[in-house]
Amino acid sequence: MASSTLGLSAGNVAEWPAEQVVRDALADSSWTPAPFTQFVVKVHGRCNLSCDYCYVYEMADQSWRDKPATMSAGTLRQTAWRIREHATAHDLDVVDVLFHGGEALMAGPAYLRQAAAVMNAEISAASRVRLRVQTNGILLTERMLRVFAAADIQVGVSIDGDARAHDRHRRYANGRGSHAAVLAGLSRLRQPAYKHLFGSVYCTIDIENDPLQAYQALLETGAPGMDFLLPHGNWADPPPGIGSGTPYADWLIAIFDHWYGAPRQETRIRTFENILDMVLGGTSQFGGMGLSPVQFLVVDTDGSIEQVDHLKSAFEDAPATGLNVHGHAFDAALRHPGVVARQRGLAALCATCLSCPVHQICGGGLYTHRYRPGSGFLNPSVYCADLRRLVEHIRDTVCADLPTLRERP
Amino acid sequence: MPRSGFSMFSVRHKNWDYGKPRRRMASVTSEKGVHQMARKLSLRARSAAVLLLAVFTGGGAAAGAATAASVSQLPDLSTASLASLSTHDNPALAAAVSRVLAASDAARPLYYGFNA
Repeated sequence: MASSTLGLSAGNVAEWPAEQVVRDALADSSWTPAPFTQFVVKVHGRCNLSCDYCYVYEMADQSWRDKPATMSAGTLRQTAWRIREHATAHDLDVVDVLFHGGEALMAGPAYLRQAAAVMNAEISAASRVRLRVQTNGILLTERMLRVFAAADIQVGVSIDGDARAHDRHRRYANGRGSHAAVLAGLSRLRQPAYKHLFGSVYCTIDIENDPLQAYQALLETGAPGMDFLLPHGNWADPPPGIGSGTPYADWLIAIFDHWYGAPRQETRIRTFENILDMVLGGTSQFGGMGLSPVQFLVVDTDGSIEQVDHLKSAFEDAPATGLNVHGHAFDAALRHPGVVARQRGLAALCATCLSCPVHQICGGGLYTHRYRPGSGFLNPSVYCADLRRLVEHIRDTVCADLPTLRERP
Repeated sequence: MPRSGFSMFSVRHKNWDYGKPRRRMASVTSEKGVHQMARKLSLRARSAAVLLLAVFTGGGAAAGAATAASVSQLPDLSTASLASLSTHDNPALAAAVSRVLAASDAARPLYYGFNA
């Protein structure tokens, strides 16, 4: 059993969360675990790019080396069966299945056609299935898109801006940039036959890139939505620029002010909408902020059940639960300390977070970014200052705007 | 850009201490409620409370005085208040209002993508 299943770091020092988190949760009569509703299925464990910030291949966890390159047909069927089992047990109306990697499209169109068929056939008896795929965009061929169209698979694409910005990090193993290939894939995705499949584009932030140029480049992809992702890091391995002002907040605020102030809504931006909704009293819609319980789970190519894949940036085996679809129901993961911690809302925040005026919205930021060797995840985010600045800016913008709202006639 | 700052009072908010309903503050949308709250607050927050009163009662003079102060607290928006807001000139804010009103208890957090 992986050390992280016992709340231990790679150095076997007890870190938070440990089993006491689970005992406290179970003793809390007002709390019940929230079922998983989103499943990230790693159909392929290798990638055709060599992005230097990749949490799968370039950071603390290297477990990909010991796992199969492709999820076997048997593991795929078992995963689908487990999702159905879970959906039935919890009477779920809808489940999201996201084909992921590595690079999911390296599994090939025939494999993905079969994967979609397996998921639909197995799960639809219990719940409606929404299929999605996340890709670097390079293998978005006509043949692949026909498969996606037939199976109604929504497509998300990673792109970091224009060629200069994108090719800083998202390169082939030989150092060549991938931007041109991504644009070609996006061009095919925008065709009338497939544009309804276009979900979102995601940009990993590099504060050396101009934010408005990055925003404009993503806008030009024609995606109906986008988001800007904080590069993964933690207190032991901080992202670039951390510790000197609030460079990430400043970067995002430049885009927010432009987007928010536009006379018509140019696109949807997940992080900004999430914060706006929470400022107005709504609930968090994704796990990067807010206090809503995290309800997704990852199944790796060997069937191993993992908490969230970007925990790989923290330490070796950080996402591991010790569970596998071939031997365990997903309900078993609901009792894992790491899963419980990400469903406990305020009870999982450190004292620093609880004393912060924006903690209800920030929610401590992305769980992965709170890691510090020795104490685990009971810390503020390594992005704390940036998150606070961003939330306060959006909050204050809305508060200043509200008095100008007209009453309904 | 108004300065942000620490709010001396917490406003009613729909975010949950997960598993436990958040203790509701007395409504500050009534004039009595606002003045009771204001006696306990710093001058800065008191100005903001007056601003809220102005927003919901149309007190123009009070709003004029309050705009000089920092707005540091979350807006106190009940569902009814939110619903009464007409379409705003700002499409991003209007869309956010619509989303919050339309969200049900079944709304769930997303890892990728958007709700259909």
